[in-house]
Amino acid sequence: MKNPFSAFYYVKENKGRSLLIGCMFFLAAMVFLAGNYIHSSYYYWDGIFEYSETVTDIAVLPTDEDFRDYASVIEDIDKDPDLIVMLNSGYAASVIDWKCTLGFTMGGHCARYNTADDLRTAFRILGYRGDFSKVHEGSVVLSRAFAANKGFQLGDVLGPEDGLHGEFTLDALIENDIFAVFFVEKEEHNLVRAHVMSATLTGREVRERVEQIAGGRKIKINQPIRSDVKAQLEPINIIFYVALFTLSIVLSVCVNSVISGQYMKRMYEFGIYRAIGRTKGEIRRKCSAEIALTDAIATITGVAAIEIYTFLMNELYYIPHGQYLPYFSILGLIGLVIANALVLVPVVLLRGHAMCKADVTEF
Amino acid sequence: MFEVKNISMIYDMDTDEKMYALKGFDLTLPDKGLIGIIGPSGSGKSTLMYCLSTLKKPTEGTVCYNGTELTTISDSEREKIRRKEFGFVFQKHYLVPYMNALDNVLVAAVDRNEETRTRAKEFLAGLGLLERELGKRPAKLSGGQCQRVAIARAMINNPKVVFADEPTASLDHENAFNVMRILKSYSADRLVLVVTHDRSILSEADRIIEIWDGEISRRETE
Amino acid sequence: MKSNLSAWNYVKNNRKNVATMVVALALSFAAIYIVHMLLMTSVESFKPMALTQPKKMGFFDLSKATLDNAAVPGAEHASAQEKLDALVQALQEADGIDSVLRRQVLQTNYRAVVGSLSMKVPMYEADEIPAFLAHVGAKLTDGRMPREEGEMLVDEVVLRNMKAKIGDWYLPDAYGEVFTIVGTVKSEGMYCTGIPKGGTNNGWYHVVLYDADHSDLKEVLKKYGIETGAEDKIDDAATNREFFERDCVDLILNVVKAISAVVMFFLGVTMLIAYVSFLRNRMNEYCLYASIGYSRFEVYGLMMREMALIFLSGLVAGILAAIPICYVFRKAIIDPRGLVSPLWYPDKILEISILLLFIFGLMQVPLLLCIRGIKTIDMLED
Repeated sequence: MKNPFSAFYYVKENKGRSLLIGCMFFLAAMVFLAGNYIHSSYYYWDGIFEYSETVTDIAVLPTDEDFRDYASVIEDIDKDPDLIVMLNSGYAASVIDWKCTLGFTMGGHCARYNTADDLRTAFRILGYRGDFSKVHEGSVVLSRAFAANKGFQLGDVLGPEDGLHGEFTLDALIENDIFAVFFVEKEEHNLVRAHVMSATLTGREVRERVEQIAGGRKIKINQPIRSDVKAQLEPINIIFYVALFTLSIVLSVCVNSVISGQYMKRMYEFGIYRAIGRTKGEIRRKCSAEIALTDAIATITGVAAIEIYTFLMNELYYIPHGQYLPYFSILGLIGLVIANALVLVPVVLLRGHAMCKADVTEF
Repeated sequence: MFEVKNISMIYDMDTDEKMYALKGFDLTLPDKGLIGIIGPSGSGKSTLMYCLSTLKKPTEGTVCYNGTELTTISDSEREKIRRKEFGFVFQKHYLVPYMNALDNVLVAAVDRNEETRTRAKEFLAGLGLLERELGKRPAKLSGGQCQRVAIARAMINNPKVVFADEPTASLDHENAFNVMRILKSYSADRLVLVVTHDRSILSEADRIIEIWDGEISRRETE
Repeated sequence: MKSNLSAWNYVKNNRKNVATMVVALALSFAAIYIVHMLLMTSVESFKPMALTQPKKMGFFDLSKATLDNAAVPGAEHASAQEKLDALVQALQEADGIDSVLRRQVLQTNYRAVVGSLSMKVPMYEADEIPAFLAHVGAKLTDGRMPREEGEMLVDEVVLRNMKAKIGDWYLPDAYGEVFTIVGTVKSEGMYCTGIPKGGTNNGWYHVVLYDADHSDLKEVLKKYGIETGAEDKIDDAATNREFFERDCVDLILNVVKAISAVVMFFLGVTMLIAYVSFLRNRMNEYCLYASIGYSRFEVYGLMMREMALIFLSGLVAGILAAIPICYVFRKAIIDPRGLVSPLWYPDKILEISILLLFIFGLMQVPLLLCIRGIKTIDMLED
């Protein structure tokens, strides 16, 4: 049997008023979209982080005279049956920028391989999918998404104007989403730089094994870049939270005021409830439930609308252009929770408290 | 049913010019009957009703209801008594505008079941509302119909006491007479207190208490 | 006849409603201004390094192909290396150029609130460093001059930004424990230098010390028959200015515009809904004015005056809130990192004011609808 005292009854019978408030709560839900957009910048880096954690890059230190320590470490690593050394391979200076979903450009990772076989071995270990049979010296390999982002096609010749130090042909596309540049360039001289990988050990185990082998010898073992890059992207999160708090307070103030006006008109209704014996607790719960129900409907509608928008944007624009907007992010979720809490809690506390004071004898 | 001793209600206690709404008097009310409380505007009649119905706490004195001291019990106990034993009819019907007539009655019901719903419909039918009018909102009902819905709301829980504060003030003569007829019939085995400044509606009252300037000036019995 | 309807009456007696809108306006203003200030820290902080530094120092590394095709006067048919030597010789003798030396370079990493800037650091021999410092106008402020291999002089602002001190390693994450900071300098262009140790990972460049009139190396090289291309590495005032404008200023301004748009959208929708609610609550009041003889135009004038008062108050409150908060951010976050950001951005205040004016205009819609709905009091519902 329907309960006229329930929150659901109020919302159902006062759709216009609830819609007004719902629109404001809907705005709070938009924070979820903002968080997803901010988080989208990490999408491009996930593949690079994984690469830097799987592949250990070692290089000579300037203080290593005649590269003696470097050579001896390489020799020892080579003796380890679990480790694969790729000489003259490693991080390179050339870099191609990409345009992220937020609209600004980022540049990332570039790795050179001395031979096509080294590249194919590495990709096999990394689990990269694609046809790499045509890769040879002078090839550059990008992910399909990266190529789409830059408007490159298979067979294109990329050069210094694109960010590379020389001319390379795009001979293969990686199906995995990794925004890094891989090129094959044979180097006659010893570049005193090498990749170390393993088909059997994890990236962390490889790094630990190399550090163990190196011991106290002078050699540079590059660390994974995740923490460093995240530290650089962190300010964007901070700006998001600053904007979030400010907008939530603006919303909260306005919502509170609008709801206050609506509830003031219902003072006599709550006065009657008090007169007929409804307890303060019941009245507080009723007020809270009405507002919370409106918020819940608006939030669910908002999130549903955001997911539909995300789907359409991904399918129609972002993915064809080598970009991506995530459907969900922890940042977006945290933003949504904080925005709702900052808007909802003061409103619920204040309205419930105010309505309990309704006194029919004052009318 | 009610034993009132030395009741006083003072407003603006902290100022030099205190206002005495009720000036310390005793009163006893029976278990049933239609009791009229009459007096001019500002005489304290509504204040007396609020004190009896636990809506206000008197500044001095005691109000006993069936042996329970209403001035000393907790808020939640007062709420329980109002919920189960008292009913209220006000000058303005104060119906909830977004609820239909039936739901306005059901919102006051203690029990939420089919039996209550049926009883509410019977109440409203007994008060002259047609079936098709039960689903109408207050804006679509006349003033008299709204007041009858308010009366049904007051009586849905079969309260032992009905407090009616100027129940006919905003009604025409015919509707006023109808409302008083309903209250009179309810007072056959319940106590109905009617506060008014219009003596003409108290022609059927079992007892009339006249209040003047916060004091009882006359107690008439039929 | 002058209207007796006063906007001040409403504002004075409805502080809660007015405060709602003033607070909303002020907070939105403050949010945009503060975010602008934080993001512009990158622009303002990078200016000395990106714009001032290359006015006195540049780098080039020409490809073999460019040299092969070059027509260097006096060495038109020489080999690439000979052409390069001739070029360097000619540059050293030219007016406006103090020195051209092929040296190793390191990088410096200067981090702002958002983003970081990496510039080249020329590595000289010990006896060359004083001349370099004299040319760029850098003065030693603490520590000593480098004497041994691997010793560095770092600009004091850059040092603060790196959260390092004299005696620490210079960028150990990038270079390992190889380079030590032995002194600090103070300069307009945040210059750093040092003595190389072993080979570096950042290559060899021709380091050119020039004056501002010769800071466009491409044009300078053109005079000596060198047509540079994409494969040549040129780092001068022109390239840095282009990078700064494109990758720093434009980027930051676009981000700020995006954030402003989002905030203003939120504000606009919220204010609209709140204002509609306030207007509905005051319909009786407006109808009363109409009933006692005020024209709709006069009532409209009253509403406009009230809204103007609210918007102006919001703007002023926003400025008064934003500036102290920016000051706190500057003291807590910006100054300790050796960054720069002014507190006062009059252009931004003007821009936000225009956006608020737009929202003011948007409010005309519910306002005019409300005016249309004014009836005399006998037609009001109870």
